[in-house]
Amino acid sequence: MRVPQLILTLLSATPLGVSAMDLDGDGLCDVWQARWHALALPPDSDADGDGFSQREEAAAGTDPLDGASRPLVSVIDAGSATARLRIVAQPGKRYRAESAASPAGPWIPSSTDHAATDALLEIVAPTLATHAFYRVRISDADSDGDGVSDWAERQLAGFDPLNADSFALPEASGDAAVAAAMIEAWNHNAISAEIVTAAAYEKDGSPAQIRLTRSGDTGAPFTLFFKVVPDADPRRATPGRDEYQLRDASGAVVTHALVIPAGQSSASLMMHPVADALIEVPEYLDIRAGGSIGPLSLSVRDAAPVQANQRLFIAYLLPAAGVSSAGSGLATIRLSGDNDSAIVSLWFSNLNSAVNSTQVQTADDAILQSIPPFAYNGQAWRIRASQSYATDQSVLDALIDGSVELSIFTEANVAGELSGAFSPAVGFVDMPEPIEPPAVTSLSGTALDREIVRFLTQATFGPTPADLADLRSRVAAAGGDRIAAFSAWIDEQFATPSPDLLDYTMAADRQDIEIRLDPAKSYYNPDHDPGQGNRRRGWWLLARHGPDQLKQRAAFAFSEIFVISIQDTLIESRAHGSAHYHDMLRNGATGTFRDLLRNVATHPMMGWYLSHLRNAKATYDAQGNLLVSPDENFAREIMQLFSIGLVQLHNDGSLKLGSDGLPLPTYTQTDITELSRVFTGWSFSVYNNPSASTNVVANTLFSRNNGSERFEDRWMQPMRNFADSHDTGAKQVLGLQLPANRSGEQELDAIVDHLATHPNTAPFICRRLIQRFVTANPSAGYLHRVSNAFRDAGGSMNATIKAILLDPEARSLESADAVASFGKVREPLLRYTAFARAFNGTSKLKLADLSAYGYPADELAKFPENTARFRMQSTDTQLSQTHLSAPSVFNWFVPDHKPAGMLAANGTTSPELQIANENSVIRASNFVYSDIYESGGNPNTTALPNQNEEPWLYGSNGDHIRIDFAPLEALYLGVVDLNRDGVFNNLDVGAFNQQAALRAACEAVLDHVDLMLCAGALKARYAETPGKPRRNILDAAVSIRSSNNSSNTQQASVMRDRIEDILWLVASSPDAVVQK
Amino acid sequence: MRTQSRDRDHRRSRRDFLRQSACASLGVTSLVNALAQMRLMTAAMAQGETHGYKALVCLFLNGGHDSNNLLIPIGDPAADGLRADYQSGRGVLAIDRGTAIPLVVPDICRAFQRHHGSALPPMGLHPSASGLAALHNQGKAAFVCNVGTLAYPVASRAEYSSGNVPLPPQLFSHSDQQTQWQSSIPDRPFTSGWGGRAADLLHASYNNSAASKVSMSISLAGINSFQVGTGGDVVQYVVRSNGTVPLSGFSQISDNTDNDPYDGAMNAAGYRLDRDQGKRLKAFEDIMRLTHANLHEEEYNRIVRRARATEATIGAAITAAATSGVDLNAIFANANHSLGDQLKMIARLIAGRSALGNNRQIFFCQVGGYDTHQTLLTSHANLIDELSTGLSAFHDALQALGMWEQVVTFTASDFNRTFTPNSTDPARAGSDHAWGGHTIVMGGPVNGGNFYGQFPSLKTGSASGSIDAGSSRGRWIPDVSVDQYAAVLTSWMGAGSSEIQAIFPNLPRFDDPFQSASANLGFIG
Repeated sequence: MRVPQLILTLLSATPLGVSAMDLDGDGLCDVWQARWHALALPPDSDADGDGFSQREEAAAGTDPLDGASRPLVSVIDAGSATARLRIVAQPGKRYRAESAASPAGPWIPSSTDHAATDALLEIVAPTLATHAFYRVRISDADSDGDGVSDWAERQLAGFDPLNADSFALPEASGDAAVAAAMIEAWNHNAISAEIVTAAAYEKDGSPAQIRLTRSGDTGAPFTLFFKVVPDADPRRATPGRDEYQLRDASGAVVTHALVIPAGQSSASLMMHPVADALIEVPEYLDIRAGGSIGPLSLSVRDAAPVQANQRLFIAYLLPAAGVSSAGSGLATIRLSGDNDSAIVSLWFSNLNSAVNSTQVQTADDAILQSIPPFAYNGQAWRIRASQSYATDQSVLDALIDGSVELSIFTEANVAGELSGAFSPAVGFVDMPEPIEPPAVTSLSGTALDREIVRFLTQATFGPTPADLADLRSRVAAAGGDRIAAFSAWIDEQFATPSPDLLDYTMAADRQDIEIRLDPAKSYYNPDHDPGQGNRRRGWWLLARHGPDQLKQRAAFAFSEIFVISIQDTLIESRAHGSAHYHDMLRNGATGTFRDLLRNVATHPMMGWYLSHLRNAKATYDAQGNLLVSPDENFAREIMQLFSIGLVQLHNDGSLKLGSDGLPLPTYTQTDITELSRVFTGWSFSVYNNPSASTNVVANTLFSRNNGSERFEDRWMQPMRNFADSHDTGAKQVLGLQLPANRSGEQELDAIVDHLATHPNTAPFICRRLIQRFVTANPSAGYLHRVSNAFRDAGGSMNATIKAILLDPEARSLESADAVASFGKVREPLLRYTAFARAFNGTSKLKLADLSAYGYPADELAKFPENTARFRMQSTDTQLSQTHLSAPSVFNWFVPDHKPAGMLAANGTTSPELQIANENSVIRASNFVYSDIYESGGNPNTTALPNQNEEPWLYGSNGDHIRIDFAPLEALYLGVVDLNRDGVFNNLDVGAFNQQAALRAACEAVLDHVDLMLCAGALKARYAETPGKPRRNILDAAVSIRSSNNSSNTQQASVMRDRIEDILWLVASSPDAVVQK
Repeated sequence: MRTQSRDRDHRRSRRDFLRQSACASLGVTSLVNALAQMRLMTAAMAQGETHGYKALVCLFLNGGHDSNNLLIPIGDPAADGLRADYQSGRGVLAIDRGTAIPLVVPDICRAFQRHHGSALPPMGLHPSASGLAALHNQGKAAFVCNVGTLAYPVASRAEYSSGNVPLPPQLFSHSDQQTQWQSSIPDRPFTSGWGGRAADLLHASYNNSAASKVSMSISLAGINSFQVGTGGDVVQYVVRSNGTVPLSGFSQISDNTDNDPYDGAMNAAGYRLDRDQGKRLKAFEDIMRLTHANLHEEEYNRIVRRARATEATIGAAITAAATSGVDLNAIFANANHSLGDQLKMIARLIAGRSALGNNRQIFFCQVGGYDTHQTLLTSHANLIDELSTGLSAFHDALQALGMWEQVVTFTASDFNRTFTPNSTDPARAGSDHAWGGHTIVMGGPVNGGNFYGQFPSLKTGSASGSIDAGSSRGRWIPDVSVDQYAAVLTSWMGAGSSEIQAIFPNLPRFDDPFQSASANLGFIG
């Protein structure tokens, strides 16, 4: 059998023939050395380690510095008589096959010399008797005999391998002389290089340019070999080969040689950028040419560093986690178009103590740039590698993905007082034309159900099956016009009488106290203090059962904008005042923003929380020196958080920019100081006298104390102004003149009028409200439309909320399903209320029992009959939230929170994720878990405390709302209880122990749970696709106890197990956690 | 003790092996390649060995710690030139010698020889550092004086100014100096930290890859340069100081005794069981594993995935730690701050080391706020209080856990700050970026109660004896390079001489920290 084999050996027959052009006598062809930039390499070593010495590579014409570039031969076909050899060839070289029976030789020629004209050459050689070894001999040719090899002539522009005097120049004698002059020029620096333009810019496609100039004769074209070398500094970026193109002046792509044409003394090498969508730091490369030209450093940059190309980032500076500070501020970064440097500016106010230092740093504390005090107006920051950010690009990436923040360290808060992460800001000098809203298409069937559930998720504390059915029939009655049906529903909701949280709290407190007044009971305690417990429980009652869902939902939204919090101990001890504050906010849902703002400003609970209660005018010593100035807390927050915000906005919420590209502040420190004088002289209008009595009298004492708990009338009447303590001087706030000697009330009216109609207020407040109801990232058009509605309706809150809920963007099922930033994470409280409402969460405690403790009959009548109430404990640990327990006036989360990484890089806001961390997401799932799996879940079979049980039992067993499994079991049985006897057992022939029937039963339950918690997204998105959540859940549920399904008792208990798993898996899935 | 001697034998044999086989080539291969080769060799050598537990804790004081006011001369300025120099140089920033807490200066102390001759000046600590002073005076902590980044030794102010000695680039710049401190190779662009390189080698030598459940490099302060490795097995693992919450319904350990259909979802080895509960857990995790186009959903899933990953490893350690019977919350009650929280979690992870399965562990924690350009006196007092109470509590915790002899804690910072103030107003004055500073080392293995390195001359500018780098602000030219300081710590962790050489390629440029009397770095061993 013939087994042809190949051994390749390269031999240069005439490595140093006369045509080798070896002027320096080092044994290597000078043209080859120039072509591969191998001037300094010794002939007999192997620089690239590919097994071929420089001498051999020179003979073959290959690159001595690239291991992949070497003589390559393979046998592609070996027949009985001939073998075909395929050679990776260099045009101009000659190749001859030799064969031998043994590697030791003797080698005999198997072919004639073949001149290569292409990059591939095939040679047919005869085979030997049994097997053969082949080698290929490479040699140069000099067809025109001019002393320059064919290969070399092919490397050089204008040389004709078949013409010994290609240029016919008068002064030179043939090609060898021209080549020799060129070699001299290469090797002895006779070419000058100049960087004409160092940077290429992707945005406008402008190239970088190098000009190379020769000296001496210009009769022949001049070939200059160049190479591209990556930048040596590992911190800097180097462009990939597909990120630029090198061309000559005519636009032709050049790879390794630039030709200065005959008659010209210079030529340009252009580096054209290839535009991409990436945001990159300058990418550097070096050009080397000839013997010693370069490195010439060029770069590819995204865009020219001009103002129009700047990218704006904003960081809203808020107190660092765990720091109590009234400070706030704003920092901006203007990133140059080429992403090489930035200018950092900041302003801030009201820090607790002196500034220690100010840093631009990463979220993991790598310091990038310090901002000294004299540079707050503009500190240059070069985007450079730092710490574990080992490349400049990684620092830029950190900025883009929201991991760069500005932190202010102060002497009192050495670990940082204020900080904020930078995120890209959308801003314009002039507002662009708002985009058109999406079309609202007509829906029916499942899609309509999904849409109704979405609407109820936005407008209530969670859809109930009854509400779903109600709206279904309303839409049908409206001829399928769901917008009309929803609109009418909204009107009805706003007209529904609201139960007061205060009435509930007072009655429940009375019960708590009176039940402990029996000395015979072990829990006798005449001094019992119910604390905030009943106010909190009352909120659960309203959220779960309140007939005025939309108003209560609005009140909840307002409570996250106009924040007071029981984290403050005085607020904590004034449960009735807190309840009254809630009722005041709820009333705001049907009034104007102006009146809501005024009611918030004059509510004593807010007066305490933001310290304008009993805030006196400035006092001076005898010499007129200022002793005490008014507290500025409320003056700042009513602007920063409650109405206009820090920076000027267009009507669509985008930033208004000044001509310098920077945002424009809405107010100055002077405005705060002036406004703080308006908020002087405010104190209680009434008080209880004696303090532990229900006798309420008018207050005439500005410094009236806080009174006692549970006799809190002073906390439930608006504050009034005391003229003696009010600063009656003239004031100017935000351009509004307030003349001297006006009353505090008059000034307040003027201020709230001014704030409510300020151009910023509509977009500022409407954006917050949209975020509370519908989506964290309203489009500019959505916000523009709602802002207009706010303005057109004179700040009417119900008109604004209606515009929010009925906007095409809110009502578009397509947006919900397709827009990546649409929707919002349900905050844990809303996540749980939705769960409780969807599955009829209840308890055995009856609201009607409170009638015996003074709960008004007309209040009770506002609820459905047999409404249950709840003994919910604080859920701060389990849900990271309890009603009115935000950590600070900035709420649990701020409207601009963008989690670092993907969301920040996409400019996507997700406020609720500010309280989502590794612990809180698990705790929230665990809370639902304990509701589903522990304590049975069924209020009918579980011992829940009855009214006359010992009070502490309320807490231990009754702290969860129990959901009702019966409707879910009915869905299940509806599929498998074929004989309709109410139980599932072996009499249900065809279903019992039948996988298909069990699966269908689970599916019925799953689709219902999916509809209620996810607006049917699981089914709509995933259908039956294996590996997707719906199938995962279904498979897990169906698999339960599948080996024991033949027993009656097993089948019955397994039904509950399956429903429990479905409930928990759906409730824990991202489709339920994120409202869309 | 037998373990220790076997440890030494093992190290000697490995050294010999390496010397014969690899060292010749180290000069020409890149650092990364050298480490990769050594990893393979040390892993081969470590087969079958068992080792006691050791942990190294890096406490980085971010921003540049003004250690001039940590370690304070407290002699009578009339008789004690050092105190006189302190007062005149520090000006409004000087701490009153009456309020500083006196430290015991032992009779045998070489930290003053180079710059102060035979004097043993009275020394004190910042008034807010009472806990740290107690640790020093009880012989549990020591100070290493005038440590800083160096490319080559700089003998004097004149040599600094001469330009003949290559200096670390970008001296006095936060970002560069933090990086250089953490890389210990100041004269090359950053590619890895010395903690990361040490972990690359020590993990292979000392940790059993089958038992190891978590990276040898654990950070309580996010990804950091110190623990960046050379691309080996050891990737830094970030833990938060607040621990994890287990997902309800899925116990880690199987309980087969009660026929409960909801038996544990995982067996003791952490595998999901093929039971109802296990299937439910699998469905949950399959759902969380999916990538979502909706960004809110995707971010939520990422948080859940992180929580589950952390729960599995750290949760098990915390569970194991709970069985130690030590109430760490009580011990850290007076260290209720960021540093205390980080050190408490480190103590937990040390207590729960059996669940993590590593014999060697390097921890990184960090406190910010040290960039005290302004209001130094008040800011620094707060910082020192946090530092001192944190270290005290950590000491108490390690003692209670019986781990005091197995853990060494050391401090590092960008740089020291200028000796002279930047304002004449004591309420406003701060200090600016400088160079060599003092560090703290603490732990059972530390030869505590002493001072190491060389306490600098406190003379500024061109005064005789000054080691002020080029200015008159008091920027001390370091007497001890980071390489030397770090090599001692790394050696204690078990690195042999060849490994030390690979981790600290610049070390041969300096006095041998293990031999030279002048290096004065015998703070461990």
